[in-house]
Amino acid sequence: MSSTDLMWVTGGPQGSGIDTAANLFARAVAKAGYYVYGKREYHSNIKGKHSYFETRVSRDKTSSCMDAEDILTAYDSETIFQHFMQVKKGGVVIYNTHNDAEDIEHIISLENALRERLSEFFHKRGMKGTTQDAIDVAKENGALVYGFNMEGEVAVLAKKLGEAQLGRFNRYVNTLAVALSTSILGLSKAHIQNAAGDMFGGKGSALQENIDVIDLAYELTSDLPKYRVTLTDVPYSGHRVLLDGNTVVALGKLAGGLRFQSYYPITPASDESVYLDMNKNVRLTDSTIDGPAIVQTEDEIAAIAMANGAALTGARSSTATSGPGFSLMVEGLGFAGMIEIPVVITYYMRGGPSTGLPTRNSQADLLFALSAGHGDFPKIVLSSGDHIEAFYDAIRSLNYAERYQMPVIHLVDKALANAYAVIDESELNTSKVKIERGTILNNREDNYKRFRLTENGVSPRATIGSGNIYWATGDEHDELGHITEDPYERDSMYEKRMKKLVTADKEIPESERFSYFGDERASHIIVSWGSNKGAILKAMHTLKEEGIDVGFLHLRMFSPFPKGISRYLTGKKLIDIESNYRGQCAYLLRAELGITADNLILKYNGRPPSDNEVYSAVKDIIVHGTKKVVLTNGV
Amino acid sequence: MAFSSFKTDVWVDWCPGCGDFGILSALQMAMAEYKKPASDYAIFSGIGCSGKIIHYVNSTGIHNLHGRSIPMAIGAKLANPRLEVIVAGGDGDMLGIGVGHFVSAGRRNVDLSVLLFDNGVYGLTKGQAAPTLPRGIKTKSLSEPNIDTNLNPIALALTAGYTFVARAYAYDIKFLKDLIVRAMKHRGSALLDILQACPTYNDINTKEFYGPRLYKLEEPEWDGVVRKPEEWNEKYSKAIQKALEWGDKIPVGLFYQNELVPSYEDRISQRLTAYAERPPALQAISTSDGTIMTDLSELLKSKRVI
Repeated sequence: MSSTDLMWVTGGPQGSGIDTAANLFARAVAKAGYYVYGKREYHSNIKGKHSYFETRVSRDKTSSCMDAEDILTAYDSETIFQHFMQVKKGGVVIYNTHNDAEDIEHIISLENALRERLSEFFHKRGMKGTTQDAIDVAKENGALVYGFNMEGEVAVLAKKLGEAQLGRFNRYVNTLAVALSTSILGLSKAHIQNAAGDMFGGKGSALQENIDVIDLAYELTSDLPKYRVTLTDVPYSGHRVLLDGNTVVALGKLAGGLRFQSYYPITPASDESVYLDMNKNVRLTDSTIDGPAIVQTEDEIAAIAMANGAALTGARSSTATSGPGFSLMVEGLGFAGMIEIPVVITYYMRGGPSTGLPTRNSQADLLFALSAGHGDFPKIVLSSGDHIEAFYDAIRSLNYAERYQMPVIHLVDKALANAYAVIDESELNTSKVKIERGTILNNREDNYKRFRLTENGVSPRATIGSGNIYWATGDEHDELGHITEDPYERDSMYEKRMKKLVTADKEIPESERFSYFGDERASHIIVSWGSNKGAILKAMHTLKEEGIDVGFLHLRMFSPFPKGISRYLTGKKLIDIESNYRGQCAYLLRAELGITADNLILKYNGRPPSDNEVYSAVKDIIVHGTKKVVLTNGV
Repeated sequence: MAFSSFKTDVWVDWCPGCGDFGILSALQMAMAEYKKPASDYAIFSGIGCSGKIIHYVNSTGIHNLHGRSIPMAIGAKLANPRLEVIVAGGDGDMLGIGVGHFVSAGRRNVDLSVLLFDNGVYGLTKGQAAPTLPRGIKTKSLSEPNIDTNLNPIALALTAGYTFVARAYAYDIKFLKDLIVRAMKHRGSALLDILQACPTYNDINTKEFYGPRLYKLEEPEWDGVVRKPEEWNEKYSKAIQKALEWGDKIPVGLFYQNELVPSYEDRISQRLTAYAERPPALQAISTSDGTIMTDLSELLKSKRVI
């Protein structure tokens, strides 16, 4: 049995139902037993600019995409222009003949730089640059192209159904395009109709109309040859869910007992807070309905301040933001460090600096997160590599914050935040993690000292309202929390705070801080972090098939830094892979371990690395000894 | 509890004659009179001389970042609405660096009492002009007259949406204490603008300046309390007009109060089922052995594809 693994892509103007189309496709193929990993790419724009979904469909779980597209499903011209070069030989383009004559000069939403590249490309071939030209090129490249007059087809259907407003049916062009593709992929019609049922059931006539459109798509394609890989049903067991990274983090926070979240709207973070707000009344195992207060604030300064304040009362508290917001939160972060507040910041990394690439991927904020704030203070910084890790890391972040009474920064890159994945429900298992709250005082204690000097640096923590009185100040303070500038007291309090990081380093197991994949004897070891994990694992697999063994150290906690990783790295040739310019993780390896990564694979164009570019770059390094490879794929 | 039980033995290091002493005494007296257990109070202060007040009061106090005590106090109050939350800060802290939070707080109407230590100067940094110092005024600490126009805290609070807006004088401790108690009793955001001298840097707004000018807004001549919706327009408009009075006569007292506006806690209660009975800070999140109590099954079910 061949292992199905293909890329399906759809795109269109933002606001035209691309998310719905991709969701329909993902649900439909999931019903046939396949795993899905969908990468969502979009502009900082509400309506009109090109957004697209790359969806990987596979028998096995994956957390990455490939650049070569098997199926391109396009109902607008820009999607063709953006993607026609990516369609692989033997791949399929399903397109809308309605747009055949449109040319690149008249598609106003195209980025100028792309228009120029395309113009040059078509000019060299003596072509004007119409949609038809692009289709012809795809055909020359070995793609199978299937054109349909999509508006025309839905209009005929509408008329047949006696629908008076033909224009209303235009909104089903998306459904038609998706269903044409699933038919060509040999997916059972029942699956896509059931998927439509999940999405449109209870929405008036929408469901039946979608079903009729799907029937139409399957009729139109009934005589066409199927794609060489077909999505026949495969066995599966248990339930599976379709979740994006923002939602998985939100679910982790709810599981972890989050009781307060404050946020200021920012891409790509606010989807998490919005989900929390919509689902804040949480059922507990004893059937009570409890849940967090969710507050939208005036800015990120207030967001962290409110989360800090709430945390002092004993409510598990967090905020979620991305780079520009985190920049504003830095003083609140330092305050949390100074007065030992357990607060969690979920930091969704997007392209910087400044507004940068607000909707695109980046891992350029690692060093900033680690060093944010003036003065020395302890903080825990961790990052997740995929949806499952993000779920458990969200729970554990709340634990770490309370156990060590310090801010925790949970880094999630945009690629993961916005990626949709089909996940086995059993993998999100709340019985795998315990709630650990550290030393909380629930009763009144005589002569209570909030900042009592202790062996491990952690002082028993009273919450406001628990019967104990205490003081806290962002000034240096004594054990009671009053201001001091005494040099000896300064030393002991400074050391007490920093000691907590040593305690955390001793107590947090390596399994929560890094993962090692592959043969430990390999001469080349990849070091990477965040959502690059998926593409690296796939690339390693391909390399292994070619007889090239590489190891992979996936670093998940940066502070306290797991020095134990040196046993995997010492004496090896290291290949550092990151989505930033400077190689920030490589910098840390030098700083923390004195180990230099010989080779760098970097990407900073705002798109996450694909399997194939990681594969080629690693191979280039191992076979040719190339020092540094900059990855540039993506549209 | 006795007034003296709200004192700590920390040395109060304000300059002699500072208005902060009067505010401290009035606050301690108000807390004693309000009769909450000391551990149910939480005072959030800002940066500057006024910020140190929490160290002198025997109840939980958080000496905050500059300008951020309002949002931090809001976080604490919303997580545990049973706390009596007080914010203390200077006009530089709350109307300068923290003015965005000061204004935004009015939109929410969280049940807080905001004590604005209003002396027109940044004392701890040697007397630069603060937001309530009028334009053209040259205190002895300034090399040239103040270049910026002053903010009017009363008018700003009224237009921002505070539902209790009052002014007091740091040297009339009894009057101030009474207003602090009323602010604490008020359900919603209360602003208490407290005029005070900075004897070291502000030689304009002194006791001698205020003494002959202050007069009290008192019934029956003045009643700023909105008791019925139809009273709102007139009382609110009059309060704004009264807020503009500054010169030979300066009013102190309660300009405006309106408890008909739902507090933010009331608004959350409408949306968060457990809130009134079990606010976030008091909810159980795990069993005694640390087992997670959240049941995600319904949420996951809604995301099921197969």
